[in-house]
Amino acid sequence: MSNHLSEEQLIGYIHQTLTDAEREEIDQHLAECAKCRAHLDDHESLQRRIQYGLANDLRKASASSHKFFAAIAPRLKRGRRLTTVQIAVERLSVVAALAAIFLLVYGLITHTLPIDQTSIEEPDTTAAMFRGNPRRTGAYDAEVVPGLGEEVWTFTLEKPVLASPTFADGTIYFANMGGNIYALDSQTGQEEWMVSTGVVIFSSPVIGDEGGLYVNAGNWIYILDGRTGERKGEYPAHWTDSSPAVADGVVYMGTNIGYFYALDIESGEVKWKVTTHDSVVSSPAVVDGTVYFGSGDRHLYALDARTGREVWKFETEGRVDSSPAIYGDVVYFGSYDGCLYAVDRETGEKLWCFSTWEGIFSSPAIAGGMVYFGDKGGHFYALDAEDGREMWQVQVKGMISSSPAVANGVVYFGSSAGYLHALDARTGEELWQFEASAGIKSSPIVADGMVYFGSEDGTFYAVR
Amino acid sequence: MIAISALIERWRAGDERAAQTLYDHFWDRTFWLAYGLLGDADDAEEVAQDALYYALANIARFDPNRGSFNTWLHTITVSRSRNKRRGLRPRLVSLRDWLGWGGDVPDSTPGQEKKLVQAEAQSEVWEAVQGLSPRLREAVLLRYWAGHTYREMADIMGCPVPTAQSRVRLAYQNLRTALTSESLADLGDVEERIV
Repeated sequence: MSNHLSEEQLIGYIHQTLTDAEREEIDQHLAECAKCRAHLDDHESLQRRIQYGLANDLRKASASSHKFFAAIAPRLKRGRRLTTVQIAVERLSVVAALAAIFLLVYGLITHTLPIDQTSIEEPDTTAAMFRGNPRRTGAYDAEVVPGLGEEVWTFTLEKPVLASPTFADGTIYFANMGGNIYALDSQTGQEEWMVSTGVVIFSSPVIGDEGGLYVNAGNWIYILDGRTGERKGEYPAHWTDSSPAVADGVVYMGTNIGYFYALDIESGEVKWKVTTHDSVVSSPAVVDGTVYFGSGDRHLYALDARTGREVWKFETEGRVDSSPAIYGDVVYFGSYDGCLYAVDRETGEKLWCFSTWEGIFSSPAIAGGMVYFGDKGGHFYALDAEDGREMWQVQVKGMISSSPAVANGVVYFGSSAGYLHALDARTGEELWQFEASAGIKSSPIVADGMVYFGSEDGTFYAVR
Repeated sequence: MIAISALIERWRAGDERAAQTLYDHFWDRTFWLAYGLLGDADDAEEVAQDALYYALANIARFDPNRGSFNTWLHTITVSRSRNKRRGLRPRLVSLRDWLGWGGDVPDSTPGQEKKLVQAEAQSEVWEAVQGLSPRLREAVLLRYWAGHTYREMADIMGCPVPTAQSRVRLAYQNLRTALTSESLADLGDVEERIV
């Protein structure tokens, strides 16, 4: 049929190289054409396969003999003769540093921004979505027996589990790279049901208001009955790594195409849609009628949850794939520019930022006035939520690409080296570590007295 | 914790420990990019070392207002990899040759360690990416692996933004042809081939 979308159109669409008008036109067609949606699904699935495959292959490679710094040090000493340009740069930087110190001191004197402690919420009691609650704080109100770090049960699958689990009413839900969604008894690990979608799933299931389970798989959002796994509905959506948020009868979700949607649960209609200029991997946080999310276009957005109207946007110097966490009147999130930002929730003004070695793509966890996050270099930080001061820092083996969970004064996080670490949230002292059989990319959750997470070899763990 | 910008400042002021920290910190990813571009572990090692040396020796030229250190390092790595591919720099004697392992093997064939490294990384995606022309391979690595914006890619590759975009699209089309010939319908099982 001549009016179907061409390969060229679809390829431009998934690579974000079209004009807004071209993109609109394609959207209109996709909304009505299941055939083209299926075709788009194939393209996006392949795109993911290339991205994931390439990252994995490169990570496996290591130089046959690591060339140490010592090999270039003598050359570097000789090579680094001070040129006039360098001297000028150094002088400038001294001036800049003095100016920065002046501004900093001036700022501290004139512009202290205390956080109103009374407005800080207690952690929510559920673990019903990625990062635990609509504020995405990664804080869980669950009793965990401290100090053991022993396996309670495991559930073994062939395909990796990269997405994070969700918990509700004694059941753990998660999806794996084989495209299956599992419901397991949280105490025993017994399978309650399994549903196969046939596409790779990166996002976490969300428990909606009525106990429905919302899962983004390929170009669809599936609504399943949480108890039986029975399919209750499905809506056309877009591929996404981000996990949707469900609040007040609306599903909010980002897409790899760069759109951000609000879908009405009853009708499946798009209530509103906004366009950002790169993929939205970050999972939205919804608080008090405002929805917050980051985009690959380097911004964090705050939109009116009812209308999609922009309240403010905050520009960083790198992709914002990290999911924002809301604590008190502050939004916390990381950027590929290496900073962990604290931004005023009302005005979008920067309160502070904390610079690290690495681009930050995982999401911070916040509890008890502290912000916790890890980076690709295996550094794990605890900052004072109020002023961004570093409280403690540890380094572990491997990369930390998942996000931490905090419960009862213990912070948990996984690493690519396959360890789940449990640290004292106040001091950073290690309480225990648990060695899994493969790398941990799935963010752990705490529920029902245990810590739950998936691993790259397909094993799903319950540990305490 | 010290930020990259602070380390750069310290190295500019002559603190060699800061240079060492930067070197160790950026080693892996520089090696990985070069390895993806060149497909040869020994060449990649040489280019990574060379690029890091150049970046550190010329730190005065780095302008943070024009982009991140990472983008600058990628610009150097891509440029050095192009030179390496064109054979502009003579090969250094590798440790393997020096120790006499496979010393009689000509330079163009993989040595023992290289074979090991490459065998580990031979997924179909890897094969397909290595089958692309050098410019398209650059585009795929910078966009799909490093996550650069098209603007950054244009700076790194030294081309206009629309060219960066069309290279990514063309690379994708070529990869698609290479990867989907066996079965397009079986995409649900992709990770079987990836992992």
